[in-house]
Formats: sequence, structure tokens, C-alpha cells
Amino acid sequence: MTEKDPKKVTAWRQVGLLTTIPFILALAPIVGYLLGQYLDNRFHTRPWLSVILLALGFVAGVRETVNIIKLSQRED
Amino acid sequence: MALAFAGLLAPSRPFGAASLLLGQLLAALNFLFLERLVKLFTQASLSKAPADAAGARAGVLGWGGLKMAVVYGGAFALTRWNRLEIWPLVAGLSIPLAAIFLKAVMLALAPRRSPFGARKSVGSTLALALLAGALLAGGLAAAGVHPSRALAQRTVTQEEATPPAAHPGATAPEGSAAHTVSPPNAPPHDVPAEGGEHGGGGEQHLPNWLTILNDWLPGNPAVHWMHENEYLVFAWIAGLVFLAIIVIFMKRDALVPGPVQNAIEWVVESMEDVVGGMLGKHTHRYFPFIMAIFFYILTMNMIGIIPGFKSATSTLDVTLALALITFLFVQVSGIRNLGILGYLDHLAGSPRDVVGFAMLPVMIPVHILGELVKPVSLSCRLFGNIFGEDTLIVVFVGVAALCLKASLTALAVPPMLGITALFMLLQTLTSIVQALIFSLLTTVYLYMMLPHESHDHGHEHAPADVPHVSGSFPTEPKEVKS
Repeated sequence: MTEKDPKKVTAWRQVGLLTTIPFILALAPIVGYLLGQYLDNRFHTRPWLSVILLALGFVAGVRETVNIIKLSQRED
Repeated sequence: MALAFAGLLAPSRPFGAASLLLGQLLAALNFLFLERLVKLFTQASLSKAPADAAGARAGVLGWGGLKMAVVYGGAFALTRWNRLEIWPLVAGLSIPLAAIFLKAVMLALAPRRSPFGARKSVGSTLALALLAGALLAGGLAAAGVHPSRALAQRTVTQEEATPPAAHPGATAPEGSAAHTVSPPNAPPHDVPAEGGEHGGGGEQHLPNWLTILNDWLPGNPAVHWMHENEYLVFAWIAGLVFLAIIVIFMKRDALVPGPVQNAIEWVVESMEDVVGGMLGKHTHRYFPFIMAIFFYILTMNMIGIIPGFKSATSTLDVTLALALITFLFVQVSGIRNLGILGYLDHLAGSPRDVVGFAMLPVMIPVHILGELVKPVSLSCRLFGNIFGEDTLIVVFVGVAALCLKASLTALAVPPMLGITALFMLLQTLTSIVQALIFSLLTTVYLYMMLPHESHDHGHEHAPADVPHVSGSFPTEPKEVKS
């Protein structure tokens, strides 16, 4: 098998990484909120855990996005 | 897998979950004792020294007695437990046996010589992925977990809560070819499509051969079960179709490969470049799983193009099951590569200073949420795209049917032949792209989880040999370029 162009491989990695960003950004708060709702129902703490996990979901989404951008920019 | 099933069962049937785990425990103990007994038997028969042989025979008796007491005594004790649920217990006992059976089948089917290195592993892993997917989807169904139906039910509930005036023209066209999937408590099928193409009554789809079979044999419980779990049936069919393709076309050791073998080899080699570029030295270990996922999803997507069939990936049940398998695989790979402490360090965000440790109570939930989002995003993307394609085709076929009903054949034929064919072509392309994206994202998540060189943060780094192994398995040490 022939040796492949590393730039092409990096480009594939960037495509894979960058296309996850919209999903991560959109779904992280939703998952946090749904998890919070479940826990609120379970422990009768409505609405605190929903609010807290919604906020943490936003933070997690942004944080994952920053990590993904850092990974995609790595030239190796 | 047993833990996952038990986790699914636990909220509604805690004793069922306990029965399943106990069954699994009994099966594991049984295999442990069997392994020990086989070794002792072999030792007793091969040993030339009489003392060794006698010791081994005594060991056989001792371990055999212990096995009888623990395994069969445990099974007997379980039967006396009045809370025992028999089917979860049988499932717990059967999971390891099913895995062994499937592996034996795959070994029997495996070709003598491989035209490319990973093919045998792809087949075996595909079989295991199929088994895991089928069991997980079946487990979800048995536990009454139907994410897509839950969504449909929620939509219906919201529609009922909304005044009817809010949906002008929300009646389905009579004679439309579309069916509506009813919520679980509604009559089983052929409910008039209230909500029409506005989607008020749930998801719409074209009738497939299972729908026709169910209408033809209305009282048959097997047909009814298949009709109720049609996505599971189509997922199994897709898996069998792909296995058949592999066995028929890839078993030949043709010097000049045929078109199908050539195409599959080209796909595998191309994917190998991409996966090798990300995973580096880890490629060899994870490539079979990634390819199994790729081909399985591709086959499930493509099978929906055949009239009378349906893409199993157009429901959230199947895509969520696939994403859960991927999620578990990534987490287990992380634990295997990083160790328990390294994995916990990864989850905690790799704190290295006082501020990092002070932020732990916030960072741990953030990281856990970040990990949980990944399977959800995987499943939603795949489900959304394939469901969207199917819905588009349903809408155009529905328009054509309406035109036919109104005797407007001249208007009906172009949409039927032209636009539907165009969307089928689009569906083919999207099927390939979505399978590629799912497997690519699995690779990305593995890449993010595997240990990397330390640069500026603990877990955000490329594998050490990423630039040098692209395009081939790292079977030989590569020369490191400076």
C-alpha cells in the first residue's frame, strides 16, 4: 500500500472533528437539562438540578468545542 | 452488556435486573470452573509421572465437586427464590453462550487467506457488533424503551393539548400511500394518518413487506411481532445481507478481484487511511470495530432504497443502540488504555494545580456531560438524516398517489418517476456520507480518549506517531522523520 499524504489525513481529521461542533453545542445543554429533569423528579428538587445541569451543559458544550478546535488545529 | 441490560431493566423491574445479573454470574462461574477442569483433565491425561496424574485427578474431583456445589447449588437456590424472573435469568445465562456460538460461526465462515489484513477481524467484529446491537435493541424493546415512540407519544400529547384550530388542513389525504406509526397504546396499525404531512400523528412511512404480510396474516403472532418490531427485523436483515456479501464475494482468493471485492477493498483501504491518520499506532486494534460499524450502518441505510424495505436507521431506537455501543466501546477503550486512575483523571479534566483541583466539583459533571453528549449527537444526526430522506420520498409518493386518485396521471408520473428517483439518488449519497460520518466520529471520540503526548493539556493531544502511519497498519516500526 502506498504512503498517503499526511495533509490529506489531517484534512480528514479536521472534517471529522469540526462537523461535531454544531451537535455538541446544541445537544450539551439539552442533555444537561433532560438529565436535570430526571434527577429533579427522582429527588424532588425541581427546578434546581435542571437549571444547574443546563448551565453545566452550556459550559460542557463550549469546553468540548474549544478542545475540538484545538485538536483540529494541530498540524501533525 | 449484561450490566447495560440490567441498568435498562432496573427502574421498571429490579428483580428482573437482579435475575439477569445472577444468570450472568452463574454463567461466568460455570466457564471459570470449566476452564480449570479442562486444564486439569489435560494435565491428568498427558502427565507421565503417576504422582502428577494422581494429583491432577484429585484436582478434577475437587474442582468438579466445587463446581457442582457452587454452580448447580446456586442454580437450585435461585429456583427457590420466589422473586426470580425466569426470562431475564435465561438471558443472563445465554449471553456468553450466544457470543461463543457467533464467534464459532464466524471462525467457520472466515476465509482461508485474507486479501487484506483486517478482513477476518472485520467479519468477526461485525458479527459481534450485530449481536450486541440486536441484543441491545431487543433489550430496549423488552424493557419498553422506545425513544422514537416516546417522542411520537409526546408529540401526540402536545397536539391533543393544542386547539384543533391551530392545525388547518391537518387531515391526511385519503388514499395516500403513507402509514402512520401509532403510539404504543393505540390500535396496532393502519390508523388514519391524522396530521397528514404536517406530522401531527407521528412519523409517516411507506408500507413495507412486513406491513403487507401483517395485513395478509392478521392473526399470526410471529408476523405481528415482526410488524411491531420492524426496525429490529430490518436491522437483522441488513446485517445478514452484509455478512452474505462478505462470505460470497470476499471468500474467493481471486488474483484479479471482481467488482464487488474490488469496491469493498477500495473502501477498506480508503477508510484505513483516514482512521490510521487519527489513531496512529492504535489503528490495528480499533479498525475492525470502526469498519464493522461503517458497513453495518451503510447496509442499513442502503437497504431502505429497495422498494418494500426500510432503513433501520430511520428510527431513534436503532441509532441510539448503535451510539450506546460506540459510547461503551470508547469508554472501555479509555479505561484499558489509561487505566482506572488515568480514566478518572481524564474525567476530572487532568487537574495539575490548586485551581484545577478547586474546580473539580464543577469540572467532573462538565466532563461527564461532555461524554454523554457524544452518543446523543451521533444518534440524532444519523436518525435525523435518514428519517428526513425517507420522509421526503414518502411525501413525493403521497403527492403522486393523490394525483393518481384525482385522475391526473400526467401530473402523477413525473413526480413518481423523476423526483422520487432523484431523492433516491440523494438517499444513496446521504447513506454513504452518514455511515462515513458515524464511523469517522467514532474514530474522533476514540482519538480524544486514547493517551496522547503531553503538550499543553492532559488529554487533548495527538498520538505520537500520527504523521507516520497514515495509510497502513503499523505492522512494522516506521522510521521517524525529523
